[in-house]
Amino acid sequence: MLASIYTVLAAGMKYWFLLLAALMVWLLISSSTKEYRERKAVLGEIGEYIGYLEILRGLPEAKGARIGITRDNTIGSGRNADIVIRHPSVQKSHAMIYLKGKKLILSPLTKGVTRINGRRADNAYAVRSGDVITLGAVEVKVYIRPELERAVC
Amino acid sequence: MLKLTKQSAKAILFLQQLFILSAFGLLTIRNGQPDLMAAAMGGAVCLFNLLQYNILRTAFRHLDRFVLLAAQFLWSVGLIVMYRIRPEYAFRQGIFLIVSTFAAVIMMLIIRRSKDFGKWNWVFMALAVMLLGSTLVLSRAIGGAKNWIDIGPFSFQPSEFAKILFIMGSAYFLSTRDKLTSFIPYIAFTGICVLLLVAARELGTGLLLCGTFLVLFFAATGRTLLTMLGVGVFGAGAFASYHLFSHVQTRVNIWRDPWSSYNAEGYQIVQGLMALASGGLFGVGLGKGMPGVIPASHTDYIFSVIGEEFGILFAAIVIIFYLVFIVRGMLIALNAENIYDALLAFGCTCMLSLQGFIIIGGVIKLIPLTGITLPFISYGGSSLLSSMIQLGIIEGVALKNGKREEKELRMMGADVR
Amino acid sequence: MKNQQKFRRNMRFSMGFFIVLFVVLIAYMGYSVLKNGAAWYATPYNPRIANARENLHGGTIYDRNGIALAWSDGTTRKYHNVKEIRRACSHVVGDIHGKTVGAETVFAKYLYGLDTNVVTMMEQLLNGEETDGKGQNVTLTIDAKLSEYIYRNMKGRRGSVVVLNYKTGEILASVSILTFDPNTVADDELEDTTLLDRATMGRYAPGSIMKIITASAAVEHDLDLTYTCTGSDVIGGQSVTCTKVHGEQDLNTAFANSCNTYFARLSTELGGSVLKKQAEKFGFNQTFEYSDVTLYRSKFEVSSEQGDVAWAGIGQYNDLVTPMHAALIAATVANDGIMPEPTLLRAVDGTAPFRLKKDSRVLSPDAAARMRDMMAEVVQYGTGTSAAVKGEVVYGKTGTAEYTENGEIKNHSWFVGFMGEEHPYAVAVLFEGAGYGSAHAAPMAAEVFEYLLD
Repeated sequence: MLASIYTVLAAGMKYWFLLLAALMVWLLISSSTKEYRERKAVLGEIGEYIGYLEILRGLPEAKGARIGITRDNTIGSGRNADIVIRHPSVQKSHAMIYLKGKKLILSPLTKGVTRINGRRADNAYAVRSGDVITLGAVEVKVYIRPELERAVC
Repeated sequence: MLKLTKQSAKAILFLQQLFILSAFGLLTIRNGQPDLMAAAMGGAVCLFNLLQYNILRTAFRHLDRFVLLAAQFLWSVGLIVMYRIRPEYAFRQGIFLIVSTFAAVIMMLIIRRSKDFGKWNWVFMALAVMLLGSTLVLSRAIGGAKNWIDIGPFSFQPSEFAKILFIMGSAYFLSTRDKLTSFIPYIAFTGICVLLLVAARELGTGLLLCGTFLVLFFAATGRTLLTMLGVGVFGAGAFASYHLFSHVQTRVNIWRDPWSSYNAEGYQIVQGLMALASGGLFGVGLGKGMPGVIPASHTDYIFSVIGEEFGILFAAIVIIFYLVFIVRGMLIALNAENIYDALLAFGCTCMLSLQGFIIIGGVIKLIPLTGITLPFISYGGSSLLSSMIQLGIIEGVALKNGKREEKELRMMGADVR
Repeated sequence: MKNQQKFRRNMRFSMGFFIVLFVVLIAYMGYSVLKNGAAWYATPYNPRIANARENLHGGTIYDRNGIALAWSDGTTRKYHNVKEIRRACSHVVGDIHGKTVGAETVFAKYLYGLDTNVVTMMEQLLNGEETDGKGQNVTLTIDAKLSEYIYRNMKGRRGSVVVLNYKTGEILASVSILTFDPNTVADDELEDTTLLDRATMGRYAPGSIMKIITASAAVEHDLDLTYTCTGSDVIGGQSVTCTKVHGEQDLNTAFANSCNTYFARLSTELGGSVLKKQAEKFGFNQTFEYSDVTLYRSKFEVSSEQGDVAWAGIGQYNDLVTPMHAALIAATVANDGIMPEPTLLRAVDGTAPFRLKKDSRVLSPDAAARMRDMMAEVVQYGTGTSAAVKGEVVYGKTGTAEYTENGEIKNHSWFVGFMGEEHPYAVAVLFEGAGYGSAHAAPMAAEVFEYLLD
């Protein structure tokens, strides 16, 4: 009796095994492709980054967090800003930080407090890696990618 | 902030366990009495795969999961078929698997932390030549090809390890040298290895080494003309060996027409083809074929058993798994930081893939049959150990890549999950 | 950096190379197993078949009219009780000891249920029946009574008679003498060529039936030669003779009279390569890839000597053909220039199997029509008058193929022919060493045609 059940099962399970194998290979390929694409996209974007801002003070829950800077960014508390810093002392569109030629320029957009290394900045100023920018009550440190740094200086 | 999430492999693992358990379940009721050993084996394999996957994942954050999953599927299929042929093979292979995993992990750790081995490579190359030479001197013959050496109760195949040393030597030479003349010792080394293999009648491994050499050479130097010259030399060598060696002639004859020497040399090929024909698209069912009439059905010719019992559609999927392996391996190599790492990963991927191609090609009579094993699937401690070490090397490079990428991502403010 | 770029590019290229390699692997596996799988499987060497025969109850082999030719009683195989029918159909049905490749081996997978599908198996299980490969019954295309008639009328003369339906390719009879008795074949002391199926494995010089191919080449190349036969000629340095002095001939009359010197001259006019190409269109020098029948290769060779070309064109030199192939050649002319695939399997358990027919176009319909006219003239007034049947048009060609045996010159007696569309049968008759085609093969063909008309 068992022998007969085995015969029928063996005949039927051919399709089952095939199905499982096909599903496995399909999932393997699609997950692998998805992960590959995502990684490429992220790394691509990272490749675009000129540097980053590291949060020093003012946002205790995000202390030490790093935010990437691309060629052209607005910094502010508004949702539309490229770099969002949520703090009451930070204006919706507080300042801009962008690459001009070989220099990284910080340009305040509002009358809110903007300092570079402690000194008030009312107009656009070039910043260097290591400079501390204060926006309202939040302090961030600027890091520029070493390759670009050499170009900027 | 950017995030990089990793896709979940839970579904794949689940399907894999389902596959293994149902296959061993079927094997349990194959004979009149329920074979509980089969059920136990099934459980053990599942447990091993799951444990291995999860432990490696937690220990090594940047492990390439897909390469590991592909390999797991391949050796699971191997274990199932081996158990069906004779349970002892499956048990032994299981032990080899456990041991090999350790070897793979050790390899991963070594590669992860190292740069190229510098002067050690000369030692590697000398060792490789010694290993290959020793088979000629100390071996015992199996079916005309002398490739096994007995050391106490264990028998192992030195050429399997010489292969790995070859890849390491190749990676070193091809990444640190530029001028053609500086390649001469390396080319000489390759030539000596191939000649030793041909003399020991291990034509399959010889072919493998040649192929890997040509591909690596082309990739590293990009000199198409020289590579073509290499292909030409290889072709001339093959042609010469056809005329010089009777056993090469036999191989070519039974490739062209195995039926005329059915009772002697062509027997294996004909049986393999009959098995594949018997299987057709969907196979005859696990346990219902006749692997007993096929020589080396648990080692070199295991593919024909898979074809007979699971069908050629399934066999095609097995080939696709090898393809996934190749593509992932190449991607790891492409992502590598320096040429040495890239060549290591590329070399191992290349070698494993070519090996699969050569033996499957031989079984389906696309190319003349040569005696090499099907990576991960064939029975054989040395073969499995060697394949796992190569897997370890590939994963090692993947770990290095992952660490580097994570650093970059972190630095730029992205978050890696 | 640039080095790395180039390196990456080379690696990508190699990756592509490997992908191609593996795709080729998969494609080749699929193609060769699907195409050749049946042929690889159905050989006497296959231990699976031998194993099945020992352990399983095989299905019944029927002829097209339901006459049981072989069936299983337990695991013993039994055959028709009339000796003549057993022997007449012996090569077609085959044996179960692996000595011949007949229906028992070619259709083993049906007979021993090696191909049963799951649903049927489940039904069997639920009905409490034996599931392990219940055999299916196989209905062949052959007509046992026709085969018996042919066997009796061959009167023990060595040779072969093949009858096909040229529209469907069904083999109605394939009798080859010497025959064996499947009941006793395992134990009997057999004469050396008993197990040889002369229809598919016997390769003979075609003699004048080759003129069908030569004439068709002339037709397709618009070469209508006029020539006066004086009974002998020297062509390409070799002497060619006719049985009579035929006088002035054109293609039709020369064909009807089977004038050797005309066709020898015609062959050299056409040239060796044209002839060879035409022969190969007809299947010479090719491996036949038929599912039901294994047909040995026919041969047609030419050399640079015009003399050899001449002889090749009239069916000598190194020409070789099997009776089955000869029947297919006749069938091609009958079937508007399309060579049908010969089939042996009519139904499995009553249902016709799904088939992709491997018919091939050999001649244009016009050329075929002209050939038909010529072949009609052969029987009307030419060498094939003894194949004529009252009240019905018979088309054909005789052949007398010379060969040497132990220093003696002998002749194979050939006739190939067919009837009109209402009775779409093509016939090939070969008697080994019997003599003239018109004297032996043609009358046999007439008897077959008469039987078919009833």
